[in-house]
Amino acid sequence: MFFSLLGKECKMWLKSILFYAYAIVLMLFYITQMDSEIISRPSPTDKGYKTCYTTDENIIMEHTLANLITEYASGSFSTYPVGFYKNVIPDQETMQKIGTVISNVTGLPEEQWQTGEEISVKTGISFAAFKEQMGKAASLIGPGSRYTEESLQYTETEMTYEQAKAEYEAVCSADHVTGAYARLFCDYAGLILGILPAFFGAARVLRDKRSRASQVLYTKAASSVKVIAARYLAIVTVLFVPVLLLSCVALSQGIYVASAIQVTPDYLAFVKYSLAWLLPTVLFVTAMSYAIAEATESILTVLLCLAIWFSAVFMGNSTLTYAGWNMMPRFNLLGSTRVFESILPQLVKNRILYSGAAILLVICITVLFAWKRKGGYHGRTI
Amino acid sequence: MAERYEKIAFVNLKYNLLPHLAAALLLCVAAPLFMGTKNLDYSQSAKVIECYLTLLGIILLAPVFQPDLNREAADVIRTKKSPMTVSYLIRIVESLFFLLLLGTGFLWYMKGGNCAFPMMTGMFAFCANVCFTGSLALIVFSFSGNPVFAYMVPIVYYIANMGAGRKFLGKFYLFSMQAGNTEDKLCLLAAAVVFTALAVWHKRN
Repeated sequence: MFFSLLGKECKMWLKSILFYAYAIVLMLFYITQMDSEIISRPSPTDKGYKTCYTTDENIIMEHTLANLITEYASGSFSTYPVGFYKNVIPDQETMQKIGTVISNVTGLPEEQWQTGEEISVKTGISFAAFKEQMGKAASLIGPGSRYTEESLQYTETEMTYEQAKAEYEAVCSADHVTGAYARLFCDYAGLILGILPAFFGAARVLRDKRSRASQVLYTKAASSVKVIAARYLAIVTVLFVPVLLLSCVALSQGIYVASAIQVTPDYLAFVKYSLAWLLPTVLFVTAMSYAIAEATESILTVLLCLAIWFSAVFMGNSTLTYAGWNMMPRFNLLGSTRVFESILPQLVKNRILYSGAAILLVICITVLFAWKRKGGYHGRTI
Repeated sequence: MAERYEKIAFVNLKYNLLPHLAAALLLCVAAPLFMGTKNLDYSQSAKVIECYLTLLGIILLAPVFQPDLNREAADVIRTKKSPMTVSYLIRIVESLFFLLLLGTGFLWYMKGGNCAFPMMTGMFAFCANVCFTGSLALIVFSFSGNPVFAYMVPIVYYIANMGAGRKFLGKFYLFSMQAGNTEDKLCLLAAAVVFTALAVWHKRN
């Protein structure tokens, strides 16, 4: 019974315009977003190397202080409270307090650090004391500034030749090249997979409502668990198979680069990354939209999912150094194997959380569906 | 006659548009929580208008053909004296009216917050963007009869603009005002008129 239902649902989706639109969008997104950056062995004679994240406290302090003085001089502070730019122009009193913070970390009166010359933090100031002062500035400016505790964890700086060489070796040995490309693929594909499944969950419920199939469906012998499980798994299957197929295309680029630099590629890297990184996103977004649609039976489900997607995109981390709890974890850089390894445990927790939430939502959908079946919605009875 | 048209508009507002209007209003009211709406320069103001307010077009124009999904209701509407075209046009004008109301209110609020952009330019960019994305929803709804697909196409188009849109979409790039270009908005408006006319024509038939 279950597999028969699952087969019928899959066939239904394969005849749907939504599925073809999804496949086309996914492919176009891949073509337009994925760049053709190539991994190559660095040479000591190269003019410059990529940037990397550093936890060097001195560099962090100097970069942060330079930013603070520049913004103070302009009288306005850039913040990103939820991703969108917010320009904060503090009043005179607040500016004076921020000025005091700068004087505290430079050990100089305002007249001296306002000269426009390069100013350093005062000798002997500890990183903890610096962070405390920046915390004061952050609370004066408001959320999303460059002086929050989170912003002071890392800063970007250009790699040295030795760092570039170590990074290259890590990409070759730990990632087998294809792993690095798979991460980039998951980063881009994850963005679009954070919204596209929402249309399918909503469409499934609204289709029943429109064709008034519910009344017929409610009388069928299949249990609510089987109906919902078949419908949900069918959506996830038709959404995820194109992702796997597309990952094969992306894999070819990784294999080409790996063979060019004589590294044995990991042929399964894209499948492993897609299953562990992208599948939880698909599972969660599908379940979320299905649950909202089942509860509201409204097209506004799509708008609600769009709002959630927006929040996830704009509240995402601006650095690669923290996987966090975002629905769509980002890692928008080719390579950086060691940085990725450092965030991996958090990323695993993140993915387990969303997979678990998806299962919970599916249980909720099943309970709601069973309740409706018994006539518990809109006073309908079977 | 006017009374009949008023009734069509009232029924549409009460039974179809109201939740969408509430969502649009919520989007506007919540804006200052998410982003700066004061002391913005021209480019920053354009970002708010183009990236944020554009969504109002999808919210308010996509549900125009929604009542016709109920075949019984659609059959009843067809038996009325007023032609279907008139009914559709009233619904579209009603949505446009609320779009203008919300857009004007929001832009005045920004101007009051010392944002540096010419009001007429801001309104023009707003109208072009909301009409284009909304008309995209209308034409897809009309030809596919699928409400979810009607939301999907303009939303994906909007997301495409956030990505590589500038490179590939040419004169139909939604966020051109941020780069100081408002001439391309004419193309968006022209396309919006064509899409809306085609959508109504096809739906009527």
